[in-house]
Amino acid sequence: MFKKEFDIIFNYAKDKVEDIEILLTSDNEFSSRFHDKHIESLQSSESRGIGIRIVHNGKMGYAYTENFSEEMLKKVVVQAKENALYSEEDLIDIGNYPDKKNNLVLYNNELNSVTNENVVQVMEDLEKYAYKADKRVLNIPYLQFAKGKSFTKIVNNKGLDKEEKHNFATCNIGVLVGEGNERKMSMDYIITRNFSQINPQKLANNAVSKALDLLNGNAAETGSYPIVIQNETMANLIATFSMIFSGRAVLDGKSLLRDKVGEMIGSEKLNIVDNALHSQGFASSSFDSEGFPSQKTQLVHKGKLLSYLHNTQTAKMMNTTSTGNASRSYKSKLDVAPTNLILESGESSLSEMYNAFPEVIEIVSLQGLHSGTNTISGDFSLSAEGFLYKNGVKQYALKQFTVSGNILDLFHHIMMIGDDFKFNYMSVGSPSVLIKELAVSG
Amino acid sequence: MIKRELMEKIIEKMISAGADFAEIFFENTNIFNIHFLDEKPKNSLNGADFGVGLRAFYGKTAIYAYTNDISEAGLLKAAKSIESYSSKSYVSSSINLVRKDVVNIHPLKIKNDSITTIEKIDFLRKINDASRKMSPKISQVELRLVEKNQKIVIANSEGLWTADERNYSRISVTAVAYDGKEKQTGGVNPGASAGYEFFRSLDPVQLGEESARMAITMLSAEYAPSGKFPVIIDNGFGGVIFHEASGHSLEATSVAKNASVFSGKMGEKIANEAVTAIDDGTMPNKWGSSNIDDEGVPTQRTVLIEKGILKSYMIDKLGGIKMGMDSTGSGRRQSYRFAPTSRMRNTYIAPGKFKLDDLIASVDYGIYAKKMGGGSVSPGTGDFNFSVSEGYIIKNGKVTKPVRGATLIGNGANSLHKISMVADNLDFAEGMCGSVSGSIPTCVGQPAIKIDEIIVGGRDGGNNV
Repeated sequence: MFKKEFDIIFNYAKDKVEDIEILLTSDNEFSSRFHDKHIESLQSSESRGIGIRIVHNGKMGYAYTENFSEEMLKKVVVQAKENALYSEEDLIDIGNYPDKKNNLVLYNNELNSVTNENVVQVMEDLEKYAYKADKRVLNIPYLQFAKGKSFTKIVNNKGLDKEEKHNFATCNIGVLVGEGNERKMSMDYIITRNFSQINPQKLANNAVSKALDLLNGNAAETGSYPIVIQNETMANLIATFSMIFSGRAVLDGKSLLRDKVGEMIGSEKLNIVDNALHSQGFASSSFDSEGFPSQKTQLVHKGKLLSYLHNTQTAKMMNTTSTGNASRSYKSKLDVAPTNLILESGESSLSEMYNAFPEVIEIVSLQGLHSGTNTISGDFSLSAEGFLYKNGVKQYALKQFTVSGNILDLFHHIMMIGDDFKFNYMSVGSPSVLIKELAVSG
Repeated sequence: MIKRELMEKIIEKMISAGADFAEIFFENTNIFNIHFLDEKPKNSLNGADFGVGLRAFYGKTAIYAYTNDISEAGLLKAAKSIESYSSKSYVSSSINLVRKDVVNIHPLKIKNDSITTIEKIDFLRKINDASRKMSPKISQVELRLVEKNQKIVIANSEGLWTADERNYSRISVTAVAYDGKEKQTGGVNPGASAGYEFFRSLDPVQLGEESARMAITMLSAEYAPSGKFPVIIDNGFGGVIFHEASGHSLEATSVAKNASVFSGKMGEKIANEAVTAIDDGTMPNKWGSSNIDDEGVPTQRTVLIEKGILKSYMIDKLGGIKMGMDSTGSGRRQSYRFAPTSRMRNTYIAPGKFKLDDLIASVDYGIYAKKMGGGSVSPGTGDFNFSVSEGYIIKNGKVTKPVRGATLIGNGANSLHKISMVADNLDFAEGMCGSVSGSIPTCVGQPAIKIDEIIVGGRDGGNNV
């Protein structure tokens, strides 16, 4: 696929640059929203883009285009070369990396045969089950199905030529419930490669019961509490702070884990891995954005920091080897990013955690993660929803409150790690955890 | 860019399949950015975003398709995917597009690509140097210069055929201060719907020093207290409170679905009478301005709330059909990859009669929020949050010691009633707002305001009062 476009760029660049890499992605997506017994919107797309990296006079330059006319394909070479003139980026190798065998299944043909009627049926069912679940369901503002397939190809002048196909389907529902003047909203979702795994009744019931649980809340009393952070919410928090593990952020002086390899950065119970080969992870792939083969990397073992995440560039700067975490879309520059980032399961049950202290607050959702966190200082102050437990027994929901702390303090204060591992929608996964204390304001 | 006859043919095809309305949105965007870090330009990037989005309404269902392939075959394929969802039978149609040129009220004076990269890097270096000169504690300065030129063509089944060009220039500055133990950050992100003249209007030394000042101040700051306090939110980015607490909940996107706390509240008192709020897409060269919205409707100045009374929602075409109201020129989208929906432009609280000092003097114990970060809201519940990035304790009517970032939370339906004093120092700040139609440039704005009581998510005991 796209041989003509690659040939045009390679031929034109041949005598003009020292090295060149072409990254292409081609996506097909379909999505549908449903509201009040009818299809609110349908969207389908076919899109593609090419991003090139070139080395000229030993320096790196970038450019991309979504316009595949011959003129534009040549222009990106000229632009990238011009950009290389002013670049003082750390040196990057464009190299050839061998494949490693893996057992990943990233594409399921079955999704191609899902019809519009199948999708509408699922969404009708979801809405029906949600309204049927409880009469306090006021509205279902968010009800969406989406599926997509993506083709990635990386080719360079060093002989590297790799491609891979991924697909997925996802379905989510957001339910608004109310009693008196109080309104609460909850979501549930599934991401899968098997359409038959979408269970509308289960999704609808989960979203409704999560929202209903939050009704009739009392204000939290301001103070310091032992906190259980529910699995998916903990995964969301880790995802927000994931850049602290990036070798790029460490080199740029933006990670609070700088100079901490070999040190304890958390409780002895804490184990964190990045695993691009995880069979259930939707961030899995055979190779990264430099074509480097994927691997599993232990980042934190029994509380001790073992490694950062690297691409070949950051690895070279720090005298180590790439962990296969090069990240780049055709629109962006080379960076480092986690794949399936995982806080590994422990053995505690939720009930052990609720019983660990006379009073425990359980957090089931956090809002404002993009604004209430500072990934450089590690500080966070976030809007939260959850429940108060006394002597292991759920007392009541808490009205919107805030929870504040620092991510490294939180890692050190982990007392129990649950056995209820779950991936969030960004393929960051965690079980529920018990934290010794965090500041709550209500 | 795209021939009239072809656009007519594509629109006719969608209308023939029973659509009540059909539209073509064509985009050709060029971007350029420079990343400056470690006292040097790390790299720069050119990009070309290029594609077309087709949209059709069949009753209340909106169907959208987009592609990068703008050949006749590519467009016909996209139109065909839209038709395939129509259950209606063939109706003959004939579309006659009439070109309507926009009057450009956001002139581009200096094209960004007419300026050398060397001059741009020199500008960045001045910011970097000024920032680092403030203190040896400044351990890193990160700069991003972003330039974007978006050319669009819109044509629809009502015969509209129009085009617009939007040019954006923005610089983001982050200074990191490090005292050997901890790191804190400070930053500014000015931007405009303008050309390189915008960068020339800025003082690089001031940008660098201001970012460094914030980072250093926060290094010596204590944790903010937790609990409910009166809060004075200063001007500029302080407007994020209105953006989150009410702006999103006044967009047709949620109002039309009856999924907003402000659905059905037109003409009712939803805020303190001290509050008048406006969403204005016509302010010359402002970050959230444009001549026409992304549905081809001229932008306007929309009074949302007047002295506490709800006067208007922000409405796009489809929202207008569902609500039986006219578009307010608020249909916006990030790019051809998104169907447009109602969004904010430059949204602000109008100035009042007080001075900032009057507001501060009225507080016995509370927080003065000088600089704000972003936030979010759930329009269905009205629960919102936004963060203070630079705050101070107010004691006995005086601003005292600095406190670190903290999130403020509340509910839009009642927090607006608690805005009791509005100062006269209106100012704006630029941000990127994310929602269903993508990430778009918007301004928030306000003069300093006093909120009588709001929950402050600090970490310091809570028994300070």
